[in-house]
Amino acid sequence: MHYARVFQLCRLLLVDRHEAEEVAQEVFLKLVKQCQSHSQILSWEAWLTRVAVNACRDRRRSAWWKWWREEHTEFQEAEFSSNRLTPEQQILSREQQERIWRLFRALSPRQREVFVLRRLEGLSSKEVAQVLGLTIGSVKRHLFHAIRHLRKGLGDC
Amino acid sequence: MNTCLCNRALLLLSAGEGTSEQHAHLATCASCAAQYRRFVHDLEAIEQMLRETSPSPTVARRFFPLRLRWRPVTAAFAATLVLVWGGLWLRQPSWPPVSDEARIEDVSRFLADEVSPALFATVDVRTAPIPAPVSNSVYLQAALEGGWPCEWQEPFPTPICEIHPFPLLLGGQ
Repeated sequence: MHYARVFQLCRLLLVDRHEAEEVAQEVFLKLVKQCQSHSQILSWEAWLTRVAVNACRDRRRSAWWKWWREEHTEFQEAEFSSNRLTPEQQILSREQQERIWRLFRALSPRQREVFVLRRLEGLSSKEVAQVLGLTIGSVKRHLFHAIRHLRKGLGDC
Repeated sequence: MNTCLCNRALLLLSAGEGTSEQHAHLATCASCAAQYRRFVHDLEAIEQMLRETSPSPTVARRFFPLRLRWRPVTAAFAATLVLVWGGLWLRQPSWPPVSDEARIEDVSRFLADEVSPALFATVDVRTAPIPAPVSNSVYLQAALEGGWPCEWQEPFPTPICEIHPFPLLLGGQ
């Protein structure tokens, strides 16, 4: 359960499923080491979120990653497409999906982190601010810019 | 709050960020409420799409372009190597052509300056003066003094030369 959540978080932050798998495994390796060190952590969920966000940041900073993202930004057909999509969401054409993914990729790392944690992970603004080390006002500002940017993918702003 | 909400406020409201006053306004303003519902619907559609789909490239598409891109890279690298090697080869110091006479003069000057003039003559050997022949009396005198004892011996040398070489050397000095 936690792995699925961490993997989903990494997948959205890195916009790459294979990289997300590797980073999620790294996160759980750190979790095992943390458990072995017998350190007391109040909220493992928050700890996992924080470590996952930092691991994704580290991965994004690597030179290989930068080169890879610049060279390979083609949209691929959804591997996650499932019958869980409601007919309403399926109305979104594939072109729209491509546009939204491109726009999502074009978000700044900070905007993407805020959007993912606040809207897709369901954290409150205060929790997002704590995880990312921002103020609540800054979280709202990044969230607004991210949503406004993503709405361009729907064809109207 | 009677004035309609701006798009920024409506977007933030749709994202769950808003004040109680803004929420109260939504309950009284139909146009803002309609815009708000539209924003919420769009945002949910975007979020659902991001959750349920993935842009991850397949393994084949991941590595195939990489292999193709190495061809021009390798070709460019090879061409660069060839150009660098050619440039280095052309930059090698080339000796200016020197005539034989100038080279002989240089060698002669070197020998004359650095080596004892007594050993190397800078003049032509054929034109050099031939030293006068030494008379036999000089050799006889030297032999009597023990200087050159072996010069007039038979083809088979006597053991004297081999047994006592040092007096000869000492005597010649």
